[in-house]
Amino acid sequence: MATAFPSPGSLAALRFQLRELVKLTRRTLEMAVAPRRGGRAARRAFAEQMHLVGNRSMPFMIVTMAFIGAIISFQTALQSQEILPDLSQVGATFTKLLVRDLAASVGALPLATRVGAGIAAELGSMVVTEQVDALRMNNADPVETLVLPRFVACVVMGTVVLVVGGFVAFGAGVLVGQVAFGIEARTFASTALLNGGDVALGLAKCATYGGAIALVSSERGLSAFGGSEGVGRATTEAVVGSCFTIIVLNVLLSTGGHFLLPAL
Amino acid sequence: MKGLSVEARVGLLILLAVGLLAAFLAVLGGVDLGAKYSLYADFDNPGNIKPGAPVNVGSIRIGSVDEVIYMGGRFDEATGRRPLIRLHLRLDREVQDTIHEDALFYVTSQSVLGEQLVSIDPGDPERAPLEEGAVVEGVDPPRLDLALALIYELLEGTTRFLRERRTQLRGLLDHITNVLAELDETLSENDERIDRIIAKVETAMDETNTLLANANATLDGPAVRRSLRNLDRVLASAERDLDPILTEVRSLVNEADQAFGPEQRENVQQILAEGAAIAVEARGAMGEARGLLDHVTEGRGTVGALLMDEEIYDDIQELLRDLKHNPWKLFWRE
Repeated sequence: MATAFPSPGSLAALRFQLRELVKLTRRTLEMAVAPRRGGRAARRAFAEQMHLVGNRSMPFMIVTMAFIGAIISFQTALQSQEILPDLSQVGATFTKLLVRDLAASVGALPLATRVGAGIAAELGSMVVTEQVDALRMNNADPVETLVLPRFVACVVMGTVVLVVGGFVAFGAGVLVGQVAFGIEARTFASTALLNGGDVALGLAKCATYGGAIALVSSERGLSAFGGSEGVGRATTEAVVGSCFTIIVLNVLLSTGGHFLLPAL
Repeated sequence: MKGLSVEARVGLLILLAVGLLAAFLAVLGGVDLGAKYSLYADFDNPGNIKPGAPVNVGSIRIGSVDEVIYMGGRFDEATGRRPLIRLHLRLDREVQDTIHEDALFYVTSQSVLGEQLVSIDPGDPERAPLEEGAVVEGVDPPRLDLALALIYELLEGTTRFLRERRTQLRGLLDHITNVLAELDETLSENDERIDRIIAKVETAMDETNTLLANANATLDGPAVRRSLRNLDRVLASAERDLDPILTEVRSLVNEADQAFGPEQRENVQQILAEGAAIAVEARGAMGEARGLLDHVTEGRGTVGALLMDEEIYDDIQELLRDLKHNPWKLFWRE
């Protein structure tokens, strides 16, 4: 895939990577809309990838999101306490923040470290051991065979993991609110400030970030060269690129959501 | 979990997430399968209330705002009002018999920065409940923005005034300080006198109180009470007898008027005219007599001199005494 790779770290390299990423995204989306492969083997490949991205990530995500929820809840209540003596709206604010943004955006970062690194390392190893070339020789499209299952798995299971992780963070937040600030759980668990737009924006972010992790990591893995050192570099770049992409997408989606799905 | 296939495990996780999400959306959407009924409340300024906002009685949620309808001040024939905003409220059917015709509908908030909601004061239980679809007039929340604008304007005006009149205000404060200093000095110098004045005032107050107490005792005494009773009786008697007396006097006057013919009236008038002339002459005579009397009193004229001049009086008295002792002097002249 990477035939004339410019020197790493240069502006030309970045431009090249972006061009490759756009190409890969276009091809993956085309195949996702109209898949050419089917049958039991394909379903099995999809299921395995979904299991890897979803089920295998759950313990790590549950623990991480519990800590994240506790920290956000604690800081929200602490800052509110300094401004107002009234903590009755902390729960509602925390829930809105979590649903609209943080469950997806903050949760996607640890997901990117785990799933993105895995995808990049796996595909990079396949590239440097010429397994991808072997696929091509067998008239199998690496994008269809390798990238599409991972993309679909990340979109679906990334959303699932982030939704479950969001609920875990919410539960941890409620617990911290009650233990640290004496806010009654029923008061804290308020959806008073939420609307359908917040949920829609949150879900859109989950799916987008999942897809972005798969695409950036796959692109980096398929661009790996230079043996195990190249695989390591590709893995690092996949994690960094995925996190950076998530943040950039967060800015874009939040801006769009502000106009299309206003918070108030 | 060990015996489950990969597909089953993935499916279970997806089902878990979908279930959690569905439950969350149900809570968010306020899914309630109980029966509902509609009420409408008109406001000119319902604050920042949104569809989905809770409707509470006290702290108990009994429904939600279904719709915020812009009426634009158009005349509503059903109510005879010109509302600006109409809220469509969906309330639990089971509370319908507790929301009465005189119920009050407020827009308020849960806390200082909390969510806005409609709060209902259910009204008098003796009154009939509000029917489904009834339109009531809501109580508008206070316009804090207007109050803040007015306070801001007031503060700005005060600041401008203080800044522009700084010199005059400083002079005024200096004058006030001087006056207070002089007042303090005067009070210090006349400390004893002031104490005395205060003591006298206190004494006077005590005496006044005693006087008032005595006056009260007197007024409450049997004599005053008796006098009042008598006066009351007199007034009652006068009130009772006055009308018959007046009636009789009126009838007497009428009878006298009827008894006198035109000739008698002319005679009376002539007599009165003559009487008036006599009175004028008498007044003149009286005037002359008074003048004569004044003349005598002042000691003028022979009679006046005789009566008022003490020297003549003494001479005459001496003469009479001499004549009494020497009567021959009437006949003998030296």
